[in-house]
Amino acid sequence: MKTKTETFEITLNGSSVSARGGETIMEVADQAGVIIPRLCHDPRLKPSGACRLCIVEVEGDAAPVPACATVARAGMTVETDTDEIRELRRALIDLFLSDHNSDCLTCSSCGSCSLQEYAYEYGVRETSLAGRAQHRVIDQDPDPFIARDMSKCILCGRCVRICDEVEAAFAIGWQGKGFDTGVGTPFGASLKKTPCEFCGQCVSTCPTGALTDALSVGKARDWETTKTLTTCGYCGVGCALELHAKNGEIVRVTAPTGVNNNNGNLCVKGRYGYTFINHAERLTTPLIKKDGRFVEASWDEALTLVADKLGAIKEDHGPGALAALASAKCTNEENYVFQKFARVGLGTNNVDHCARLCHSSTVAGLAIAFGSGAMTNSIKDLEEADTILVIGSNTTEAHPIIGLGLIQAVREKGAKLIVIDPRGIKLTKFADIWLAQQPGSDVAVLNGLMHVILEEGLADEAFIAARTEDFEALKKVLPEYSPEKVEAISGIPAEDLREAARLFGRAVRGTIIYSMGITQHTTGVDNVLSVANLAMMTGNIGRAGTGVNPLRGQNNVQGSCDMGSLPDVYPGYQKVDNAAAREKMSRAWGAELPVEPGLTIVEIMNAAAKGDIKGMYVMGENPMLSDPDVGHVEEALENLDFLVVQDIFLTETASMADVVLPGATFAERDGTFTSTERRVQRIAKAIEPLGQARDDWKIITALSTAMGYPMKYSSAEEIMTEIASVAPSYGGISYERIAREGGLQWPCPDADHPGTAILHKDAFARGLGRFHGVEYRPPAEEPDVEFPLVLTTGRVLQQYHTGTMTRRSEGIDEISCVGCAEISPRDAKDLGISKGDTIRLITRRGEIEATAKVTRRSRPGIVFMPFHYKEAPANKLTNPALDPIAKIPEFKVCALRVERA
Amino acid sequence: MTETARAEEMARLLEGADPDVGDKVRIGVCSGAGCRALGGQAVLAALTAAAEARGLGETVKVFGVGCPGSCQQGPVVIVDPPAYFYQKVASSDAADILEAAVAGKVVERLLFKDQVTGEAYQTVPEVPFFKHQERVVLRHSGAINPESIEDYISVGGFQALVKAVTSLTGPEIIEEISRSGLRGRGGAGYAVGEKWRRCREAPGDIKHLICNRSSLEGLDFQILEGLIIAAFAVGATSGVVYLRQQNQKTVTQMRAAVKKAYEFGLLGQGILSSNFNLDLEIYESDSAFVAGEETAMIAAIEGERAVPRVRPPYPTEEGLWGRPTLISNAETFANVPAIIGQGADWFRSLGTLESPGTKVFSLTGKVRNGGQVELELGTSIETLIYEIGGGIPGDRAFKALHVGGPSGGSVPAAALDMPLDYESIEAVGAIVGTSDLAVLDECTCMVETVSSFINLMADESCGKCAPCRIGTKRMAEMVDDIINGRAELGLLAELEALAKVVKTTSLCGLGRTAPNPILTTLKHFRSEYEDHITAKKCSAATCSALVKAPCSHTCPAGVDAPSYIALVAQGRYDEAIAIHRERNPFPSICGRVCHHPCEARCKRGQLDEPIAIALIKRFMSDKAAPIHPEFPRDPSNQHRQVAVVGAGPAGLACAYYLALVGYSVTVFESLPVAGGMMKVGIPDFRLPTEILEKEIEAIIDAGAKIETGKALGRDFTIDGLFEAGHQAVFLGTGAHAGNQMGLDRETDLDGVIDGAAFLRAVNLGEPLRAGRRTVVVGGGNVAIDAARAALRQGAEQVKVVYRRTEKEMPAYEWDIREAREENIVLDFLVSPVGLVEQDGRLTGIKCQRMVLGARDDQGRRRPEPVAGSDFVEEADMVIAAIGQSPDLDYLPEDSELRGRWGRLGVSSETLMGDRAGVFGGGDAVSGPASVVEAVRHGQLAAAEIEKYLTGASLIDLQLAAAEHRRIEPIPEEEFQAAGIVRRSPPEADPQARQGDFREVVLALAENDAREEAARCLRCDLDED
Repeated sequence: MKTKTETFEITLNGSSVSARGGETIMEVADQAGVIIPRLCHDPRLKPSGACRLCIVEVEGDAAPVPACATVARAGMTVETDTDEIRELRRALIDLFLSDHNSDCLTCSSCGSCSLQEYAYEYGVRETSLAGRAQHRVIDQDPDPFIARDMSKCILCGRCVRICDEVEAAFAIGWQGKGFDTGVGTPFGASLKKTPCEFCGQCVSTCPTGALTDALSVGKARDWETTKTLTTCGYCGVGCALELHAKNGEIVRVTAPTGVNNNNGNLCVKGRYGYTFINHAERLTTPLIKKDGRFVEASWDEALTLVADKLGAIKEDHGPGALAALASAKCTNEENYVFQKFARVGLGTNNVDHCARLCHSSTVAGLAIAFGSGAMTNSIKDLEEADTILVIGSNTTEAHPIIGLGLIQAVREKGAKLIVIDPRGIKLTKFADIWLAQQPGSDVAVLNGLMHVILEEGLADEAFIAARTEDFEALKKVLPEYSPEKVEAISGIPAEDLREAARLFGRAVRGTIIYSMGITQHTTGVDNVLSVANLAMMTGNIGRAGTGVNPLRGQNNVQGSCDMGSLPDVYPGYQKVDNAAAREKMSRAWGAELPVEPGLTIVEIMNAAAKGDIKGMYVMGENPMLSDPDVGHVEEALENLDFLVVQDIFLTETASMADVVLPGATFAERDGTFTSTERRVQRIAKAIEPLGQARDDWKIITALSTAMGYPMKYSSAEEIMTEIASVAPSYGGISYERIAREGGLQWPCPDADHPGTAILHKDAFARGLGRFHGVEYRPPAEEPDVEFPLVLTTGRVLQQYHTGTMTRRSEGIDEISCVGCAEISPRDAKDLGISKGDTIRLITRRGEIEATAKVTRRSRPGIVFMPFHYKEAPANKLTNPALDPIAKIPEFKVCALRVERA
Repeated sequence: MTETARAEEMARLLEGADPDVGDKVRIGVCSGAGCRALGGQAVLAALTAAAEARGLGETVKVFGVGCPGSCQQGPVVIVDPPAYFYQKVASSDAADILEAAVAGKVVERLLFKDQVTGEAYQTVPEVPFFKHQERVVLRHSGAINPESIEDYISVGGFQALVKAVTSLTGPEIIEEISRSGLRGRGGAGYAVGEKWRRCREAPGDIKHLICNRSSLEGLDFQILEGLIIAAFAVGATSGVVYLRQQNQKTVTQMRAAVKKAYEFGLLGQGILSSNFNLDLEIYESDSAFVAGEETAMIAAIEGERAVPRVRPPYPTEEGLWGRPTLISNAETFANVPAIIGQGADWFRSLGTLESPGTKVFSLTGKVRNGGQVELELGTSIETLIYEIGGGIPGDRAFKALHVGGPSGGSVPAAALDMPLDYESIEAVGAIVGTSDLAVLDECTCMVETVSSFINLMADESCGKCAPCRIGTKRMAEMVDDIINGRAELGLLAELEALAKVVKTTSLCGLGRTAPNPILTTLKHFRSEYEDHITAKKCSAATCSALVKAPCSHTCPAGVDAPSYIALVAQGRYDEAIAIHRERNPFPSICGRVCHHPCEARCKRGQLDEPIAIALIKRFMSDKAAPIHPEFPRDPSNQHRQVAVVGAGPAGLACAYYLALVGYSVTVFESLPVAGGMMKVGIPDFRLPTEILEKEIEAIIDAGAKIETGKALGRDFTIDGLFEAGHQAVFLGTGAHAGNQMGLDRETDLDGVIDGAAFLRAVNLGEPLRAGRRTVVVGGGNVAIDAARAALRQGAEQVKVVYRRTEKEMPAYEWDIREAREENIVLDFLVSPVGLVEQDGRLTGIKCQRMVLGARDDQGRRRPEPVAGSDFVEEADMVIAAIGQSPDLDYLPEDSELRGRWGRLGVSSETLMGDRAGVFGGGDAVSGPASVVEAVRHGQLAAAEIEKYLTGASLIDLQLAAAEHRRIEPIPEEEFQAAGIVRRSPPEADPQARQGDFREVVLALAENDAREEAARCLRCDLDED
């Protein structure tokens, strides 16, 4: 990377403008408001200099130079718009047009096509070379998302470069040479047969109509839509995107470059998983189950019924017989209102949500070690690391845009990458070292790393001395974890472990990234503590490019926790069992509050099954797919007296409800999401809610009012004002600041605080960081003769959570392997299984059928199954055994038998 | 200290070396690609076997040597001492070579002989091909076994490396290279020392070096030596030799050489006992042409698609893997050992100030001795082509030198004196680095050549940047339109504009140079483009879409030669004659006197010898009656009267075709006989009167009237013709006035006469006796005809003096040959300066010797007098045959019909003058030219007169219809023409024929004529 520190002047079209060292002429001109035309340039890509349209005259140079690739020098004199330059550009546009199918009348890109724009600007009405050969490639095998019309391709190469440089998917490349150069897939295969991830980055960068969004063809052109800048509703990365709406329908999704961490990039879900919004199956009216069938009802009727039923249970069995499941998909404002309703309206702390199932061990573990359970550093900051350790995170699939950044750091900045994962995920291809551990052996592996680090004198003694306590506790356990011993537990070759330990131990800026591969274990908290141990031992906390960075799964799982949709904390992690906190909240909300912390999700289900919980309110959750041992969940829900589900579709859980209330999607409401990097970001209403669907907070406040605890807000913003007044870490956050500053990272205690990019800078939240001596414990269930394989579950790139949205989004299923289980070639061979066979997966809890996907991504002995599919619900198989502290179930390991179906 | 170290290292190197030279006679057989292709390996095997069989192991050493460059003479064997140069050696020559070698003798028959003079050259330095070269890079080529590191060491190899590593520092070496002025040999000629310095000074711990090894087969050790010195100087510790996979021999040899260098401690760790390390890899590329571009090459080595990257940053700062990289081609490195060894001053003594040293070029195209040559920079093109290259085969005219291959530029003949150095080559629009020099002659179509270049470049464009990808394709399409006759004149401006855009805006050198052939040929050969577009003419007769057959295409009158030849082969003479007469009513005449350009481009000529078209024509016209072709006739034309002035070939042709379509035509001739120059300019021994009369009769037979003894200006006027009812007038008054030498008393001294007047008098049978000693001044046909006529008019001695050399003589070579056979003496480089008289009688002509000096626009050298070289040639008659001019005295001084240079002024398209209804043609318009050109004017004028009078042309109608004629070939099974050699005509005995005017050249026998006709390859039937 070139440093861009030194500043100097250059003369641009006769005016003196300022430039910084390393900036190109184009960058300098852009900042000065001088627009130089370009076709092959995209700020996300390295300069290519292929289109030549940005040529400018530099005094002293014999020939014009491309502004995109020419670095400005002090004292340079540049002319961007002379008659000669314009004439050359005209000639170039003429050449482009001569090999371009100028189908502007029916082209999707009409109005947003750069070639069209320049032809207009330079007055090239038509090519002077009409009738000459054109290279026309017909796309013989279309896919659901990327419409290819190569007769409009001008070979700028942006799609190929973005697929390589940014997405690292390498799905498309160059073919042929000379005039017959083309862009395509290997051997012309369908994109579906390539590593294409359907991120649409290629479409986003295409300057013409060669690549367009297939979903949008014929729906609306650029000038017809209203565009709303908002935040993606899928994962926790929190990408900025723009919803294009026409006549109440979302017709296209794009992302602006230069905004937010994603800088114009999106994953397939963010860019193409939007058609669920206007899906025909959307709930548009309240439903009441009568005689086992849902009938449509008015809001009044439905809300009255709910208020009556819940009120009756509270009356008859006490508030402890009620439980509420909040949603990591809903906004901060909705979660805030929801938990307030649970605590005040229903009078119970039995409020939880699926964060329990992903990062409760993080929240618990990091709270113990550091004093705060969130990602310590920021997304951008990860790329500052010189060494990146990724453990238990399939980043490129679960957090695709963060994945891009990691690969970028490795490929462009030379960062070293260590991947610890049982599966051959995409990141392993870019890793310097890949340690493939046996699922459930993470504590041993991490202890092994620390063993070597300590043994080889790579520990940061100064940091340990100054910033931490209880190192002795750790030191005591480490001698037992020699690499050889760890090899016996984890299967990782001792030498590889040593290599990795040295690499991380020597890092100047080492960062650790993890996700549910760490948390979803009966040893989840232990795993998290071990990660914290490693970071502290190497002094990698509190600086740029370091930290412990748990990547949160859902769009607002961070926010829903922040908002107190947890049984033990109020907004801002104020403890329920802390009398002062309870007093404070009681005053703020003007009501008495229950004293005892409530039940967690799995405990709620157990209680329901036992009959202790009789009424339940579920907002935007689908435990029938997301929770472990769903057979048990089904029993629990069936056992309820009354179940209310508030959702946008009739989910597996909603189908079991007595009353279903139609909520709004993220496209239909205002509010905020808090991303995995603790950044509070706005979502904005692009269209009106469908039918009678309502903003979730409006449903809750209406219900609360009906139940005798009136809540009245005029807008989501007003709710945020209340949040800021009660949650200290949100104290300085307001819509006005978010708009101005592009999101704010908590803690942001007051209006003058800039937000916090890096936690634990000078001191840990709890003062000193605390080491824990953690011993390895095997998973709750290990393979045996009867169940010889390990089942591990997780996500795939294309689907999201229980599929409520993605599976109703056109085309997503077409590009994902629906209901597939990944099995290693060796196991497949041993079991006589071929690719595409139907197989039966059996555990002690149940069995399902799935399609065999034979892949080297799975190593022998390990079967991977995504949990998204109701056709093959993996959570029928998973083990509900809980971490003793965080109560998180062990989704990642259970014993399995596979048979040919 | 360092001296000792050097001595030790050399000793160590030599220890491993066993050069095996001693006192043996070294017999080197070229092992270069060219000689291998021609069977060189078999020769080597035969010589080795023969030496072994004779037990000559102690006496001779037979081995393969690196390519000496003389590829067209292969297989080549060099016997040293004293470096006898044997060429075109066969295995069967092995015994003779060995015996001669042992005996210290030479095998005469294998020596190289000048194809023109027949002179034989014995040793390498004497052979003209080598004599004018200066060999630095190729100094060891042909002398040592290129695969033997020992051989290389034995001739001083690696001494420079030892010197560099043991006694010089990097900066010192760079300073020496800078002082030498060495410039990059692979590209545009960047200063090598400067490049090395930049690389050395670029920040970075690890530096790379890349050698583009795409040329110079067999110089592996020399290249390695230079490369290792360079790496040492710039601080590179790893290197890559980039080779194109296609040339497996080069790859294998380079691999072996690198391995050897490692074995000798010249690569690897601690080179030559120093702390200098260099690891070298071989990269075999299957990448495209564009990978020669340095950034594309780097991309290829990195495993990326071989496309260029934007510069800056330059490779010296950010190259391979982003590190400072010195990238140069093999020839640049190959120069380094000599510079370090012999010093910068020595190197600067070669070449020019700006371009010191030498350059290796590959000389190809229309040249006798092509191959790999090394020239001192600044050597002229003329030396290259005529000294080293031995001239152009068939002594055809030099048209252009194309420098730099498909992305280079062409220089025209006028630039023969141009020095070949960086500046002048760049000025041509080429770069030195491409190293290709192709000689083009008159048989090469510039536009077609350009088409093949631009199509290649369009194919080889990597496709990355738009101007190159699309622009080269568009240019190729445009040029293809031109050679296919689809273009209009405006396209040239579009093509030129586009070429400039592509040149200016392309990303890399490929695109920036791809337009060069177009731009340079548009500059120097624009008329050739225009001819293709407007006249649909390809002067080289190679553009197949325009050319039905080269013979008919090159015929000025466009006679459908392939058709009549085919008919003659089948014995269908009447039809053949009719077809000929369709465009030329003088087959008998032209069969005798035409210079037959039709034969010059004949396709059969590329196989063996061209078809003897003129002889076939003469045969068929002698054999058959002059049958008229059938033209559409319009009866109303008989009321349209046209006057033709002058009964020469132009006038008669005009009259003939007008008569055939029904006009009333009268030809007025000032002389007492018809025929014009055909009658009075050509002596009977070339064109018998009865032949002429027969064909004039046929014109009268077609309906034209001829009135002789009627002179325009004396007996009638143009106005008078119109007044008498003629509606159009054609002036074909010829060029009968002989030019003067400009000598005192030229016009009034008895015995001095101009050539035209002399021949006219002879042909009209006037009582004129030639002088006893007659001197003819001039070099054209008139001069030769006059000389031969003088001989027949009683001269005892006839001498022709010409101010240039025989090469430049315009007269037909066969006439010159016949004149020599008749003992006419030709003296060249002689120019008259005065007449010598005694007592009012001519006694001699004072002449001076000339030399050829500077060139004119056509590339012809101007003769310049040699001071003090005057001499007197005794003569009692001097005939000045230095050209004729039209005599336009019949026109008023201010006539609108007077054109430039004393000729008639008419439109070149319609042949009509500024006066409506008055047309002109033949020599009066063009100046002295040939019969067939006059015929073309006559026919064209006839058609234009038709259009002038009626708005349409029946003649054109007929000619257009004839375009589609197709004479079926003789079935192959009936006749095999492949083995038949060209027939020569019988000729009268030179002794016997001197005394009279009987025809010299005789007719072919019928069978010979038909077989000759059957030799025709019928290229007119080729489908596109």
